[in-house]
Amino acid sequence: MIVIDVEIYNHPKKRYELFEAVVDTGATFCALAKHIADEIGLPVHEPIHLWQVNGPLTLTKTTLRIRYGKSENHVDGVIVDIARNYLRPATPDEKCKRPLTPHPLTSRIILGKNFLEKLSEDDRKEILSHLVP
Amino acid sequence: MESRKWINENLPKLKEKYPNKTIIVCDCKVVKVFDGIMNPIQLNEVARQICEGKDWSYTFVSVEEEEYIL
Repeated sequence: MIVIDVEIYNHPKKRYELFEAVVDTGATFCALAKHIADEIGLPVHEPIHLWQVNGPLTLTKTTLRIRYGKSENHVDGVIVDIARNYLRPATPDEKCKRPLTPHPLTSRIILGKNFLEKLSEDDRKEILSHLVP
Repeated sequence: MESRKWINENLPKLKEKYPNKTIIVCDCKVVKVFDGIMNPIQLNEVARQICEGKDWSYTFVSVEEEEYIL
C-alpha cells in the first residue's frame, strides 16, 4: 500500500490541512468521506455512478484543491457518505458482520489515478517507486 | 515528507508500540498519542500547536487494517 501526505484546501478556514492519503491506481477518482468533505467545505456537484465490487455505487462529485510538494492541482473527487457506525471499531455483537477496524476513510483520503495524472513525471515516478522495495 | 517517510519505514515497530492508536510524528519523533482513530482536521489543529513550522505527519496505527481491505 502506498501512503503519502498531501494538503487539501479547507474553504471555510482558508488554509490547507494535511491528510494521510492512500494512492490507489485502480480508483478513477480521489475519494473522501462526507464528514470530512463537509468540514472543509468542498463544493457539491452532480451525482456519479461507479462500479464497485458487486454492484453500482452512487456518489457525489466534488473538486479538491490538492497540494503535493511544490505543485497544486484542482482534482475531481467523489464524496462517500459512510455510516457513523463504521467510523469506529466493531463492537462484540458486530463481529462477523463487518471488519473490526474503523473504515479507512475515517482519517484518510484516497488519491486516484486522476491525481497521479496531474503530477509531473518525476513526482509520479517518485510516488510509484514506493511499490518497489 | 520526512516524517511520513519515517512512519512508513517504522510501521512494524509502531504497531508493536502504539497498537490501534493515532500518533502525530514531528521531525521523525512521536510527539502525541491518541486512543483510537481521530478526525484529521482535529489532528491538524493539535499539530499546528505542537509542530509549528516543523515537518510533521500522522497515522492511525491499525494492527489489522491491511487484512481487511479488498
